[in-house]
Amino acid sequence: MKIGTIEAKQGEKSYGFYQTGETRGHFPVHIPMHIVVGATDGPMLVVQSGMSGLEIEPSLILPQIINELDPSTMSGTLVIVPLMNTSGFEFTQINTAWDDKHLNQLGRGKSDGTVSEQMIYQYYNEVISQADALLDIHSGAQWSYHQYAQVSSSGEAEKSKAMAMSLGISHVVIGQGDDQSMAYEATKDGKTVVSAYIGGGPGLRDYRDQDLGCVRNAILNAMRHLGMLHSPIESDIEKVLVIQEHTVIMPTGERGFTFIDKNKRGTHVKAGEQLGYVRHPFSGEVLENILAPKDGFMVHGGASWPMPLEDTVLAILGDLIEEVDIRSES
Amino acid sequence: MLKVGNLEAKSGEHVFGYLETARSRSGLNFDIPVHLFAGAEPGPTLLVQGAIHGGEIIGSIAILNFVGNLDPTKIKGNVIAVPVVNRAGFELGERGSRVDNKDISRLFPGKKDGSVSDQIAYVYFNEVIKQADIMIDFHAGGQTAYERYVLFGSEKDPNNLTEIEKKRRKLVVAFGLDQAAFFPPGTFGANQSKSAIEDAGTVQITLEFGGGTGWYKNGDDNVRDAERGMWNVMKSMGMIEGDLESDGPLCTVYNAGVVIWKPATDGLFIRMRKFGDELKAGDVYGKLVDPYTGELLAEMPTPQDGIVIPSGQEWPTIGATSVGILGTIDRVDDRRTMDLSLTFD
Repeated sequence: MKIGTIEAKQGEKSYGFYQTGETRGHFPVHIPMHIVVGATDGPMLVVQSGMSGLEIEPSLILPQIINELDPSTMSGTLVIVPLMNTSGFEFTQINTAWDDKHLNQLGRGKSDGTVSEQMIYQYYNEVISQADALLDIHSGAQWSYHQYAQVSSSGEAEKSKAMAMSLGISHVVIGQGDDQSMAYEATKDGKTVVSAYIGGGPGLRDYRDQDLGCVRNAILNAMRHLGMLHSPIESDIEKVLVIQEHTVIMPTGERGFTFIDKNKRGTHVKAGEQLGYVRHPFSGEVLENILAPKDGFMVHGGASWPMPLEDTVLAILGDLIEEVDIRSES
Repeated sequence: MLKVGNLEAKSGEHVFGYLETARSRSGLNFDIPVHLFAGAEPGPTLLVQGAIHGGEIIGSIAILNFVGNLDPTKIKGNVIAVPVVNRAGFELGERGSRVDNKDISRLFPGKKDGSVSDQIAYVYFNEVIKQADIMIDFHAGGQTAYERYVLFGSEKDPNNLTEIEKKRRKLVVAFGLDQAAFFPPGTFGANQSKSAIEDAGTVQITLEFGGGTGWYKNGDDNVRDAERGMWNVMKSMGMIEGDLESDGPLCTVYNAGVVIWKPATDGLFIRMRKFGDELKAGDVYGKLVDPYTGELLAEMPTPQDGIVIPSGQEWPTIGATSVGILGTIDRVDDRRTMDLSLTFD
């Protein structure tokens, strides 16, 4: 297996930077990448994280998983990108520093675009296009706190849903599809694709170990599900709830301190029920009550910090369509 | 009657408005939102302020709750409540002001003819701080840390306290947290603002209270306890009646002179120690790892023995900053036996 200059033979691990270009100041435009090739043939799984330069907590655990894996007991090929947006990470920002692009809004990139668009183009064509499955890991950065897996209703939806159900995450959201993400492009190409939203800064102090453990478990379970590891799925949850997303609540009319009731996560809410409110930051007046536009199940995800960025998802609602007892399944 | 710059409240009134300060080159005004509560009876003046570091908002939320419950007809004296001092920093979720890259909290007494932040500091110091007998300044860990203690200035001679220092000792304990700290001289850089505030006769404490990394689990509790602290101080000052409520009977005060700094290298920071951990010199407080390979890049040993005070960075990226503070126990104050009443001429 060779990607750029990174090469691993059967039963080997390799690490390096997949370089796609240079900036005008001659900094490398590149992606750090681990490749692990199993002793026997099997599927190819790509695990990627850090599309945002602020979604960095998963990179605390991804290299450790590489260290733990023994390629001689593994089938297929695992590619792990611990932190894709290296320039955003360097300069503590969501978008790339070189050209101010959000890497997860570039689809499959452009061969003649900006340096980031070219990077995504080459990465998609050389890595994702070869893959059977993609596990795209996100966190809540400094604003949100999540615990759910999302799959698209398009493409190979059942394959993707099956992998999502195996990860050990209690909420699986069937999304509404169509967006500018790389995951959606891979879905359209028939790949098995799951976006896992785990953790985030507002929970870092109290749940760091739990969240990093969840990331680790999700990756190993995805490998088990795909037959790359030959051990049973491990999970400490009893049930997986499958939710057909119907409403994504974003900041609407008013801005100020925004509070969403975390205690409603994982519960069914009625149309018109209050999910949160926006408060004037100086006078204290309640400017807006955030209401559920329709009945739905509130997913364990969304903004937590009272000053979310524009375009931050505040809450996700959907119909609870399936409740699967994982223990009896396994 | 209470008059603050262009704002005025008559006895028994609550007035909300914006204290006129300064304008930027593009015409933005940074007038400061101020609540004035002029008590029905005379008495001392309490100032509570939040977000002078714009991203440190726990106190701001608590102040909004506090003013929502405060009835000026039932208090003795005056309350000036400022939920957000640094509007430019608040807008961007940042500590300082990007307008002139200054930190207002370090600029008191300010300059009438200085930059925008200098001018804001000048007006605020002269119109607000100088009127206050007590000043409670809420800080927090922003989005990258979590804290829970009362911070106050070091005393010149603990055996011969000034009147302000005597009052401040009471204020620290009255607020109601179980932990407090002071930084001995030389721990961090000089802070002219602290001296200016003290010279103005205002007794000041800083709350390092809450922060983004603990918000999901502890946010509601911190907001509640921050508000509780303001009511406690009003009780101590005799502005309202009632018993003090607190974390417990004791307040442990740390001499917090041991700072863990980021080393020359950089990577992903992993904090390894929790509040209250007792470390020996050389024990590792945290480490930096390569973000792509997990390789250990540097360890951060403590230079001296100490106890981790309730403070410090947790987010994996850190600037050229301190990441943790250790201290030794200076004293343990007992609320059950201390006289916590604060009186003013």
